[in-house]
Amino acid sequence: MKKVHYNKYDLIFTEGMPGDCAYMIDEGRIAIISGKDIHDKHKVLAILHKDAIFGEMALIDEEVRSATAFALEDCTLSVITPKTLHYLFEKDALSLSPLLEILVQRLRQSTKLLRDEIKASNNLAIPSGRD
Amino acid sequence: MDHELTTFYKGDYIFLEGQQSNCAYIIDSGLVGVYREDSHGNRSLVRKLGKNEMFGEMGLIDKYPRSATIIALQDTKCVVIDRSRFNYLTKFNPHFVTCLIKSLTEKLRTTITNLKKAGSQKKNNPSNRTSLSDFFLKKGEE
Repeated sequence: MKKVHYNKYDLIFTEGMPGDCAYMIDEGRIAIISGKDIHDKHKVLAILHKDAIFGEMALIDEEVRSATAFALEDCTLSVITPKTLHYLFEKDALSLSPLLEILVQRLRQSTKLLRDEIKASNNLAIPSGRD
Repeated sequence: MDHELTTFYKGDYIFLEGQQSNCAYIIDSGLVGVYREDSHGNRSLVRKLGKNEMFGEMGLIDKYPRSATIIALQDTKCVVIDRSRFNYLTKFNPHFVTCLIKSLTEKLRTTITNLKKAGSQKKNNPSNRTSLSDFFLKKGEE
């Protein structure tokens, strides 16, 4: 697999851009954030470590990047190309079943964030005692 | 599909948030609502699911309790997939795994989009993304 290296604070991809590959972390930590600018206000969706996969959504559904990824430290990543993924979908989809757990985990995580967000806005709208 | 269909009537609770997960459902006909509760017990509709869409699969994948409440919005017929059948399909049926991955990705994208909307109405996100919720309508499990 092709390897790429990123330095601390390098952008790996930006929300809204077309996605042409997914990544697996060999070394380093990656932050996934909502928003396009790491210096602007943003919401951290996840901090990922070695062996984590990210950027797979755009490969799976061929939509644009749903979030921004940047390096929290110097890191080395393995690149998963659409060709690899499509090959696996066609020939060996069962090998992709670990992705199911990853997706569910992220879905729960973002659902929790959404709930917190809604809760915060409800608290703004209806002051409900002290917390 | 050669599975037996279970019918839920309009207004029926199919399952409640926080309950143990023991089966997944694929809608054969009808419409259900996915509801989540905030800490004050206010229930809000998150999305609607129709024909050929699946729900209840998350808890079978990670064994955590139900993340939402599902209520039938119309009389709805579902194929019920219990845990052992689900495990069998994810182990031996590549097409099922592919459909699951795509459906979860679509749900994740929807949730992230909602999260952005909830977080920053002030930001102008150029998000004209087409929803893939009709994925299963086109490529549902046969």
